[in-house]
Amino acid sequence: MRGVPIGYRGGRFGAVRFPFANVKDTVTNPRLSNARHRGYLLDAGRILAERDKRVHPKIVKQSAMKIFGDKKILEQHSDGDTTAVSEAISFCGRIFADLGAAVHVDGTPRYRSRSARTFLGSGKIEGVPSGAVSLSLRGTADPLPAPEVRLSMLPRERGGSRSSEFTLMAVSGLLDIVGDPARAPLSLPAGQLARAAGLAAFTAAAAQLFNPDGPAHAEISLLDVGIWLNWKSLVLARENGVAPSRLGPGAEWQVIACRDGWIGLVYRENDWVALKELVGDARLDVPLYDLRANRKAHSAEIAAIVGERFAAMSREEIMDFASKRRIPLGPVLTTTEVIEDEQSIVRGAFVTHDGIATPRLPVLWNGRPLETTP
Amino acid sequence: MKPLDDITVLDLGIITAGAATSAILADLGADVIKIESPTYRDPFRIWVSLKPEDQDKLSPHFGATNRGKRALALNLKEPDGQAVFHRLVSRSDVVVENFRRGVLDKLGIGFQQLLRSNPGIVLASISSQGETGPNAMQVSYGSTLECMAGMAWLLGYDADAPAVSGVDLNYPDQVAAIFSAGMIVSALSSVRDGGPGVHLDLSQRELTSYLIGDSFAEPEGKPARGNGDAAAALQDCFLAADGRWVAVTVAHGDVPKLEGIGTTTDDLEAWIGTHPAAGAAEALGTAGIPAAVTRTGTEVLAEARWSSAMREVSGGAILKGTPFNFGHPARSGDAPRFGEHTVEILERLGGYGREEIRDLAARGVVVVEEPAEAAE
Repeated sequence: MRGVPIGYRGGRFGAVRFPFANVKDTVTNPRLSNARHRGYLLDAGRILAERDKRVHPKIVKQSAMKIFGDKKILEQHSDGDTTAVSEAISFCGRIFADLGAAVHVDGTPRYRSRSARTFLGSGKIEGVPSGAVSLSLRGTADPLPAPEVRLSMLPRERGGSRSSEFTLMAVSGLLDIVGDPARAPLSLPAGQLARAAGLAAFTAAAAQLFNPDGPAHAEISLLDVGIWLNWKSLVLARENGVAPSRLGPGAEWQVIACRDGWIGLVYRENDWVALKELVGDARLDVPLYDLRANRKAHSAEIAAIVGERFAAMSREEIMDFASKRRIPLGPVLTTTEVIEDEQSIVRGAFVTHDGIATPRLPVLWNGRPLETTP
Repeated sequence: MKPLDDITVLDLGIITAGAATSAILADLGADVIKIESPTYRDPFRIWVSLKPEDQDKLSPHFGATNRGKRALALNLKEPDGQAVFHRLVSRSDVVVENFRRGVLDKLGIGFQQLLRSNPGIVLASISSQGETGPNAMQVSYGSTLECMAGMAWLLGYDADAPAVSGVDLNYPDQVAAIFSAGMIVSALSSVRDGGPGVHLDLSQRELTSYLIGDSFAEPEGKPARGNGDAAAALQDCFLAADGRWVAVTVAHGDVPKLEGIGTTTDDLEAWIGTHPAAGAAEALGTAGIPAAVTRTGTEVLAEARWSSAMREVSGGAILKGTPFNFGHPARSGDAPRFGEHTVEILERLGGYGREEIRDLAARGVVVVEEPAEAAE
């Protein structure tokens, strides 16, 4: 682990605390993605869950602008649903709640953590509504006589053994994209397959609400969503016979350490000259690197050279140059820094209640946020 | 009947986020018109293949993201081109764009100008960081935004550096298309119900933060990187005897099912390490523990077992499908050639006569594939 990251702008945010540093420091197993698992009984999830006990209780929110103010959305949760399907339903419901719909929750939603419960459960009403339901979101619950979006782990026609969101990421090829080739494949954080499925459910549901004469039933499987997200791999596999795979330090885009944190090394063909100027190292001027194909093949060497220079520069210094020359580099911000970043503040990207910051629905509607308020 | 039948979309979107948003609208039934300028075509059309025989082949990325659209070649830098655009706007429902901020206003087709042509227009501006704020003009790609939205901070190996999804996934671009399409349909509902035209300011960075929204509840905490999940006793990938990785999720209630293997992580790692990946995954699955061999994209493609996510078309090309399944296939048809449908769009949607189209083409305001076509 690198040293404690310092605030983005001159240490404004101070040091980041690591409440489980004692656990982390006692064990190492570089092959596994979670080093602290090593040597413990299979209760590492409990360690993570312990942290969630300190988050604040549920916030009840309602949208100031009610785009779907006349709609009743029913989340139908069932004991047969996996946590991933339940969270996908909840995420979709959360978006509709932010858009002003009356979102009712039947059954007991399952959440991976207490903080997920706080975020996904906001602004909803317990129990079945009176009167007609505009649209139902369900997994294995019994269907209602209403338009519906049905979510599942696998497509309806595909059987198989029990799946988790994580194993579906493996089956869809997504796990093969991120990480170091010599180490365990890495998943995206915070249940992203379920979140993406929740987005797909939202779009399908919005389309059904727009046109009641259209199809009344839509299906979404997490496996299909994973494959859809990974479309570039499949397209390239068909074209080249080989799909891209995780490259770790050999990746064209990667995260590089700098003096006070990390920078996302992201650049395209047109940015190469400016990047070379930023780094200022003659080793990048060799003709070999004039071609992108060669640069891709030598990404590890290039990243090492860039890393030497970045180690002496702060994020702010690097981003000042990158902004002037329009290089798409990005400073890695901690979650605290994201909340307090000037861009977030100017756009009101987070709302805070009882000391908890929550991202608002990520859209401005005619210049106004669809504000979530208690 | 598809949900967006009778909806017309003017698609100024390029590369992934904008163009993929419009592709989803096409899958929902909308008539999507891809508008490109003679001076600036969608960069996704450019594809550097490693095979010389592919020199004239359409970029597969472009093809996968633009199938089912029609194409109009229109020079928006020319005042007459802007006039043509405004006439099309007056007869359309949605405009999608992901240009650099400020470009629309410079071209005279900003939201306020569009409202004069069509008070009920929906303009979806899909940008990296939003229309406003100090970073609005910062150039970004998906992985840039992972860094600035907090996602990279959470991604990576435990006790190691942050990471990004990288150029081969570029996660924020993919999810932005799904969410943007949903918000556009929501705005169409609002307009249909009597609301005014809508400008949607969609920030990919904000969406990326929203997707990890629960992580901000305890922002000072150590990020829970790695593959672990608070809802599971153990979740990770383990190296099998044949060099393949096996993804395993052991729920708290499933730990007793590992009795024959052992109940420590070391036991499970050692057991998988002595078995071939497929056999280990199958045995764990039989015991009721979710497990799967991590597959490459090549293997996913070879199995071709998906519902609606992808489509294989004649000639063998693989196209994006939809992340949802309405029971009908995604919009068919190849991606259009540059300006392939200029004449029919100007005639049928714009109401222009052949003489007018010939004049526009002669002055470089529009480009038609075959000049004779406009002269017929």
